[in-house]
Amino acid sequence: MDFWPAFIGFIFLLLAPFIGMLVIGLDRKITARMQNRIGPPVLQPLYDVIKLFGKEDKIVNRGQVVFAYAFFVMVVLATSLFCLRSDLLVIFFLLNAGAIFMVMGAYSTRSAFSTIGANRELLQMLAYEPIFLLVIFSIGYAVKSFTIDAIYEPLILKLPLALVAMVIVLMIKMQKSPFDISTAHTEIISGTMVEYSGTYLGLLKLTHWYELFLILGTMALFVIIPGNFVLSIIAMLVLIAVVYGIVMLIDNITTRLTWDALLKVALPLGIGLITANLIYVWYIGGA
Amino acid sequence: MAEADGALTKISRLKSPWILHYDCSSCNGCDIEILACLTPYYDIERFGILNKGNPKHADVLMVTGSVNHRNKVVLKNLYDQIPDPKVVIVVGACGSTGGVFHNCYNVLGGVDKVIPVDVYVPGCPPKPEAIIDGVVKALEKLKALQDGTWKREKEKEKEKTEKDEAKEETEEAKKEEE
Repeated sequence: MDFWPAFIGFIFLLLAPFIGMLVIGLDRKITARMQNRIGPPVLQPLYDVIKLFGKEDKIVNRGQVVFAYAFFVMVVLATSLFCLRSDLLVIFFLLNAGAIFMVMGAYSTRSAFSTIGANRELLQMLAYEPIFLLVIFSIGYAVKSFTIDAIYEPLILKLPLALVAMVIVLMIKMQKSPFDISTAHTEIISGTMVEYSGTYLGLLKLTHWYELFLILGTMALFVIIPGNFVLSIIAMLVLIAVVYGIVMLIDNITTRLTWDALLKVALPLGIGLITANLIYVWYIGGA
Repeated sequence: MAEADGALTKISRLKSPWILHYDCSSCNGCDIEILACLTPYYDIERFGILNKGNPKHADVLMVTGSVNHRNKVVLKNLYDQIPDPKVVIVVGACGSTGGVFHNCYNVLGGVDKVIPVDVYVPGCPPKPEAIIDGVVKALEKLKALQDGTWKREKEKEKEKTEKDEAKEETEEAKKEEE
């Protein structure tokens, strides 16, 4: 591997949690403005996590701690592979292994809220994993390779609807209304995270920043302009701003779905969009 | 305990107090006022304050209503589940002293009969402004606790016993030498 792409990848890996944190901070600020409030400072998620790292450790069992660390390690591994422009399929599998570890951590306690949250998290995975996997397959179909390095043109020209399907994945993965069933604050408090406290809750939040970076990064791949670094970065930022703005708007104007409605809405919509897109790619003969 | 932490942790603690709100047989008057703080008009989220329904995520325990024999166990349990450092705010007259229910056969009295209380917000019910002021006072106390300028009774006693033990040990050592 050349030096410069690896170096840039390393820089992005270091920046990844801060980018995730800033997006979440801006999300909270803009959401507050949408509700006619002033809202917390943009760095609020950072304060929260530093505070959590400084709190007393109260664990329910040792397994919980192991699963929290496994979740963190898997997602960081996936992010580092992403930054090194590696294989999208491997990244996908590592990300989902991390999610499974989080579910196992939630199952390892005897709290009813935690168990319901874990059940719902599995249902959410059932909803977004096929869509995410099919998006990666369609990238593979359009580029004839699964490595990020092989992308030679802006994918959005060939796969515009797959990008829309990725928005559904982003919303489910980031617990955005109407798809926030597993951490439903008003029903099951915070679902999978209910039994975590202090440092380990902070660790989960940190992992969520990495996850957010990874999902947004996957979407940013759609506007990558090979050979032109500055233009690529600008296009990525614009895309992320537009997509995340739409997600925030939907988050604020919709209510939570029940779990069966989630499957009925998300799965057919996502798979339908990708199918339509693949037919289009096949029709223009771009594959 | 809290004195040894880094400066960044100390600042962050003051900037993100997450609240657990528990209703000990309150008439809901104080609870409505607490929830009013979350509305756009008062917007306590601008100080990083979030209303968490979970003691394991919380830093501040906000209690309303007088304590009775039924819920004193629950209150103690919730208090113990909050990881340190934590502060307790009592909202309303009933929580502070028992209020109009003082000396009722089923009522213990104020919340401080069960758990140590840091800040009392009097009123029936107190205004949302007063509640926000109570949180600010609690944060001042937390800051003093972090800087070591103020100590809780429990920790003072602990230090005293440790000092006494150390004294006894040195005295015993002296005796042995003699």
